[in-house]
Amino acid sequence: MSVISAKNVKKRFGELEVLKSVSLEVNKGEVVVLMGPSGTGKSTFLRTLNFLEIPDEGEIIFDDIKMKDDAVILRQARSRMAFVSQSYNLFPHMTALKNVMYPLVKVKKMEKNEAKEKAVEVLKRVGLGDKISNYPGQLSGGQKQRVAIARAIAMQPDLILFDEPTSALDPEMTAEVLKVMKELADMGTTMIVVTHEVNFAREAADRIVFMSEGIIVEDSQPQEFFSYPKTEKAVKFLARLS
Amino acid sequence: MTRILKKISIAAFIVAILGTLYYLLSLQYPFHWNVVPMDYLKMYYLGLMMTLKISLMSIVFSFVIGVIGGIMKVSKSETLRDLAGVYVTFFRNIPLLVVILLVYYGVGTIFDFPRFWAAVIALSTFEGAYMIEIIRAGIQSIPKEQFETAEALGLSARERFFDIILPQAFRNALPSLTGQFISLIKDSSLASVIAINELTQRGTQVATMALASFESYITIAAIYFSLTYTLSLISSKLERRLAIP
Repeated sequence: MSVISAKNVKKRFGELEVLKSVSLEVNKGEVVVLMGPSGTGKSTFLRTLNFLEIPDEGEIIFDDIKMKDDAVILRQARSRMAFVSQSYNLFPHMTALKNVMYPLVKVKKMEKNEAKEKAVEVLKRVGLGDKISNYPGQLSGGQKQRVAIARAIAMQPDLILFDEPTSALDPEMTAEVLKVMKELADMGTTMIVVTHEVNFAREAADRIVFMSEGIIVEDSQPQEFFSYPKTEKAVKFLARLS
Repeated sequence: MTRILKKISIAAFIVAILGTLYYLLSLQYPFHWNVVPMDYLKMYYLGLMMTLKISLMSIVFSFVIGVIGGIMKVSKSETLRDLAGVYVTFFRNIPLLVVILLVYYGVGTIFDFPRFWAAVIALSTFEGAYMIEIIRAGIQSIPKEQFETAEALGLSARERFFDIILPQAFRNALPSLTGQFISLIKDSSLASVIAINELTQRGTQVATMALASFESYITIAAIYFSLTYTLSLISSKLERRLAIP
């Protein structure tokens, strides 16, 4: 059963055609890694999925919701579709606990106590049980991203979108964040991840979707993609990565 | 510690210059500190109370104007942005003294309100223009990812603005806001031109009655200084308390 399906999504910024008809369907429990050279529209495509960028053409269906620019529909969809971006994910004026609790109370309409319990539980799960009362400014980059992931999973979303979640981190912190993401993947979380982390893609992904110049060029299993890339572009891309 | 010593020595230097001036003046002008301010304490007290009343009311109103106008300035609607823009341009290019006179003699005549309100309205609308720019800058100092993250979480426009953006914007704007509050208190002295009995007006009255202008103006200068300096001390304490770790 597909969790999200994008059909012929097009997006242009002024003269620049960033997405030239992109279609993708992701099933429940699948981990899809979006790869490709920078500036090929991976992030833009990811952001059209939750309508942070509104597509010029095409349609996006998430669960049973047909996405459109309407406050009620978007709120409903976004409460079940989490988004973790590169950085500045956390609200600096709230503690780690409050960062996780706040959307549970406001968007999920949970009772405060229940939300707190849930928040503590997920923060423990990402290994930050002892940091719940720290402010983002008192956490390392990796810890911040783990809080952001904790907030995402606390919402019990049907889908989590990751937009280069480790690209602002140093290698050590990248490892701790990828470990948490790998655990999520193993638990059957449906995720779409834009990343350049080959090892993560190899180990965690069910599918690698390779984009170049605003279109999807390849869509295959990791082993196949990394060992036998079908297109010239993918070969070149992989050669540069290693 | 060295920084405090440095500050103290600079202050001592300034006091020395002022002391010299005072000495030179005292050679030609007989100071009567026993008469002014001592015999007129009630006058200064009443003046101070009026200054506080006008300033506090104008601070509240101008802050409200600032928040509303600041939000308008960053809104998606071009009309709202332009409206706030014209307001700011208008008041930033007219002297406050002229605004006070226009409100008192012009608008005041049409609607027939007491001079006290003329002063409050003039000060609030004028300083409001500056508050608008301060709040706008505060909002725009928030990284755009904060707006996006809040949106992606499914928060409503209201929640995004009041729970996420405004608390951060307010913290960033606090130093400039207090600066503007201090300006406002000092600017309220201009209300004396429409014969409001605030501190400056009372000071002038005492100066004429007792024939002791220097004593009186030095006194009110000291009162203004203590008032605004206290406010800036409170504000930096507040900033430290509100600072996000």
